[in-house]
Amino acid sequence: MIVAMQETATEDQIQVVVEHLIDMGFSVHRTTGERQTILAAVGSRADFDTRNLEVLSGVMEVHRISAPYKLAGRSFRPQGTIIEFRNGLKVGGKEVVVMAGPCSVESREQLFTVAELIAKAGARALRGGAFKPRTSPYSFQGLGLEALKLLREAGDKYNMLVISEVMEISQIELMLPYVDILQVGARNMQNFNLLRELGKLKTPILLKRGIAATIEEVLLSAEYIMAGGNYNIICCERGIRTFETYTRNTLDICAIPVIHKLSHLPIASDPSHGTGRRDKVAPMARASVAAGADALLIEVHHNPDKALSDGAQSLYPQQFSELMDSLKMIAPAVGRTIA
Amino acid sequence: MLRQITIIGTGLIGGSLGLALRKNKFKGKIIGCDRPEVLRRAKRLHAIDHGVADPSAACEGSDVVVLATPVGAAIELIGKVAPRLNLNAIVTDVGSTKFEIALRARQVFGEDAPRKFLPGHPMAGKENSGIKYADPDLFRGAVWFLTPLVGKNLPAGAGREYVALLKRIGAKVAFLDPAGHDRLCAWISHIPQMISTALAASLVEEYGEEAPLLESGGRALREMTRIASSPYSMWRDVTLTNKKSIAEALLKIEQRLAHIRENLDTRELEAEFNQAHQLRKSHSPRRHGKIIG
Repeated sequence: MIVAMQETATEDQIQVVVEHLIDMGFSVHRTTGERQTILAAVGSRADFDTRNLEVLSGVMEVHRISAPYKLAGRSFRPQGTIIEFRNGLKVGGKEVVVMAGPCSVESREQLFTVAELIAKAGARALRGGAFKPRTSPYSFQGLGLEALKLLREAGDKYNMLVISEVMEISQIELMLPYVDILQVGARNMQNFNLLRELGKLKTPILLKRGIAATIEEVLLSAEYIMAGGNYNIICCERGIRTFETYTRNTLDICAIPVIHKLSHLPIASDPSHGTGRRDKVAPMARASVAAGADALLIEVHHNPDKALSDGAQSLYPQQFSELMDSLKMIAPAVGRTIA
Repeated sequence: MLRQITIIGTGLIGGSLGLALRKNKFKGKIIGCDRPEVLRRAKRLHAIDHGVADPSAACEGSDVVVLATPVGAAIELIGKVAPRLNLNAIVTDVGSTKFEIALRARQVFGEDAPRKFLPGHPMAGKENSGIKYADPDLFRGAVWFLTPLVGKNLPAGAGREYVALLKRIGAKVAFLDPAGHDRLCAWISHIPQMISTALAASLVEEYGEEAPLLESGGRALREMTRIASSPYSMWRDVTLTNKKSIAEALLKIEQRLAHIRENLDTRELEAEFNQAHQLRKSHSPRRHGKIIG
């Protein structure tokens, strides 16, 4: 925090401010200029209200220079974080990584059919839900461990990474042998117990933005994981609730450049959940790449009309393939390539 | 010993303070300042001994000057009363927000501000305003926030005696910093007002033409919309001077509402209800945090 004193501030006034800062637990560095004195207060008091300094005599301006998150902040790694995987794939570098697959793994036949099609079209990671706690107890609940095994097998066969959502702490150990990236869903973005456990791992985490979360809150959640020692985090914009009701959610494209500015972490975009409607997925995917997304998450189903969950937002394989072609043209315009 | 107190603005709060001081055997003189008809009534009720129309003249000879007007007027009044103050007199106020007025006091009094100005805020009031609703027991048992300009430093002399008087009229004096006070009041007072106002305004929009349907709402609805009748004139100053804290709290509420809207058909809603129930479970009237007095 920087406290700029008025040019007319007396030595007594400056001392009152210094003592107040020390009382509040800051260490104070003083620069006495020819005309003006500047105080730099160093310390981590996220709850400190700078306005209480503004009411002290002789104070001109108070600026907070640090964000409430430190490890996730851009200044921690100005060059940006690049997450490298076993097969050499990198997220956060020059290449944009497309992750695709069905909403949930329904059967061996379904998963392998989709996996082959998307791999051919250029997807580098296979996504798929193993656990699907649905609203209605009568809905499809996911294949669990069976799904994880299928994902790994299909991923290995078609040279794709595997990403799947972890919903509770008890699933972590079960999933680790099978996945390359653990996804934290929007509903769990502020499940701090889960985040704390994930912080103990080295496995990369894809952290989805909560449906009503601000960008600062996403980065604070990332901070939570990083505080435990796991710095391999990909943030993911997946749409937020707004006043618009036409699409299920509003994909906040602007969050992509904002997070790039505030943080060193890579950011992915999920236009499937972000829009909830198949015909809006490709335009928003293209916009995301143009805005600088480091990765895309796209739902693809070989027979969406018969999908057991979220069929309405899943692309047909042909649509996915066409999308990949257009992304390959858009990426170079913003200095990127499609991995 | 305080020999004389000036109360500028002898409406509900200022008038009640005068009545309370009298009832609790304050021996000094009480000068009031307001519109002539208000002063006449205040004097008749013995809330004040003497009325003076001009604010700066009313302060002459007083040890304590209480600005008992809405926040905006109090901010303007500080500059007017400052030149006529006694050497050891203090100025205090009763406004709903504390940061902006503290900032203004710093401009007016400069280095002397922490010694001359003691921002205050009694957590008491009624839906009706004006001297005719004044009540000597209005502050009995109520929290009275004081937000000194520098840390814990209370103005000496008159300041300490004023605090003793507040305790004598039954107020529970509590200390906070100005910005912390405004943040707390945003949550415990300003946000409930905005929610009540939004609910009432929406009800008028949806069913305003069909009053009988609205009247079919029960006690819960009446309680939720009771404070929606509060006057804008008072809330204008509050929102203007506490915009940052209110906006931050409103954003949190908007997020909460979005979360609820998203989870009307999931068990997340149950978690929300469970968390809400904790408010009453952990709340007991004796638990007031670090309240002194």
